[in-house]
Amino acid sequence: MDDRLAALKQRFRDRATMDSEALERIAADLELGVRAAPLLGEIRRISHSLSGTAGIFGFAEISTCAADLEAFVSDVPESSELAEACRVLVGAIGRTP
Amino acid sequence: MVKSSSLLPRSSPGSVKPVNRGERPGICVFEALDDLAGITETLSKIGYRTVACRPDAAIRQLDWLEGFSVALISDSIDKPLQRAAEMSVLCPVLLITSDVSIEARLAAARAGVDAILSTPLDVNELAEWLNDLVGPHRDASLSILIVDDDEIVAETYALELENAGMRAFVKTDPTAALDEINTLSPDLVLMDMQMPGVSGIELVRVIRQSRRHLSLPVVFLSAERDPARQLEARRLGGDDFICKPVDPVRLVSLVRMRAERAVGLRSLMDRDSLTGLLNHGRFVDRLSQELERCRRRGSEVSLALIDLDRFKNINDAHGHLSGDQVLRALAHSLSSGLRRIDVIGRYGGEEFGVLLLDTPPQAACRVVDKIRQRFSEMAFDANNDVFFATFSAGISGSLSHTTPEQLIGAADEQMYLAKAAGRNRISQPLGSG
Repeated sequence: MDDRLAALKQRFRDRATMDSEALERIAADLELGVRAAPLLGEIRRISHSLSGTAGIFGFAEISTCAADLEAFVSDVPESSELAEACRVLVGAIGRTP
Repeated sequence: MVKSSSLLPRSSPGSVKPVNRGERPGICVFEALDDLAGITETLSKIGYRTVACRPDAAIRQLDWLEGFSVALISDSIDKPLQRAAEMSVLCPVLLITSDVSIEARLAAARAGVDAILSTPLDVNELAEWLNDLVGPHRDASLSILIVDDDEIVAETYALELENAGMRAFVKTDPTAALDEINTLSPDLVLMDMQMPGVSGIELVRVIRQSRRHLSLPVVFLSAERDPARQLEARRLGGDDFICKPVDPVRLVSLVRMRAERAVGLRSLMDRDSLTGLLNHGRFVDRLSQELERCRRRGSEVSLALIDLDRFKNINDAHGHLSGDQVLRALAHSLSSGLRRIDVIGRYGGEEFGVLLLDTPPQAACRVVDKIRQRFSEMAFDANNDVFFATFSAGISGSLSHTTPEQLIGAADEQMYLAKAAGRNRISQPLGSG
């Protein structure tokens, strides 16, 4: 494979790992009863960027889960549901080689 | 490979073999009964090398035709469309035919024909097509500007486009995109629709405020699936949509198709139809841009204004077709004698402008004088009447003349001095540079 493409893919993996950790923290906060409203912007930013980037590298599962999460955020969901949706994406990232 | 709009020039890598500078582009001609009477001589006069091919020659046997760039097929041969289909894999194909009905055109398009010329053949039209397909400006690859705040995404698109033979540039700061468009003059902009600080739609509206960029194609990358909002973005100046997640194959083919169409249309607007060189307006635009660049970088350009000697006499003595031949021959002499970065324009009727970048007047003078020498030895043939043509040129440099008006005025003055001193010579300011 093209060296540059491999390097870009690695950068994507590194960023996805960081995003996954951030989502994990947000989910934990939500479950502890932290208000969802101030966290929505961060979730939207992460999910939006992941859905786009994962798609072009062919990680369809991450892309779909992220797009779902992004759509879910705009519906102003309950904290517990939102935490669950974040964890679905975390799971998808974890399953990706 | 995607076969895009078959009636516009294309520059897909692989389909058109690059033409070496200095070497004349080769045309292989398929005709049955010499029905394109004298086509070889005509093409040779306007700077092309022709190879007559046996109408029944097998493609395998054409391997030795290294470097031919266009196939010209007459419908007098047996199964012209089959031949067109075979040749279209190798190079652009022009079909000369008496049947120009829509059915015939469709069949030709399906066989990979790039352009149809009706009989009797209009040589000017043929020359225009050849210019579009293998002319001096055809070897530049498409340049694409990618505007996306996500660097990984932008770099990945850039990589896909570069692998497909295009030149890609990345801007992750949307607010800096307009400056980049002005300096780069890309053939197409690929833009993320949702970016922090500014939306893609807002940015396109800003781009469209400049007349220069009215025809610049902008393709949005967007997660937007709502047709109503897509339509809104189109109304505001976007040309197309690619939905995220982006399929690389679709990305490359859509970008290439859009960019090639834009380049083809722009060349119709920007170029002189007889010579394929920049027209007066575009040449003066480039001159202003290059002077501006010189001012920023502290470099120097030279302008040569070139005027054919006693051109009216040539037209009067040998007819306008011969006059056109001389104009085309001079255009070819200039584009093959200069570097690729130099800018050449048809400045007026029989006047040409040449902008030599990073070149002081003395060096410009030597280059143009070499072209003058060679051009003056070129024999033209009008109904077995052989004649020669010459030009005079005036040169000015951007160190002593900093505005477009001054630079043009000084070169013009020198050109008249060259004429007054007896023509067929170059004049430059004394002690210039």
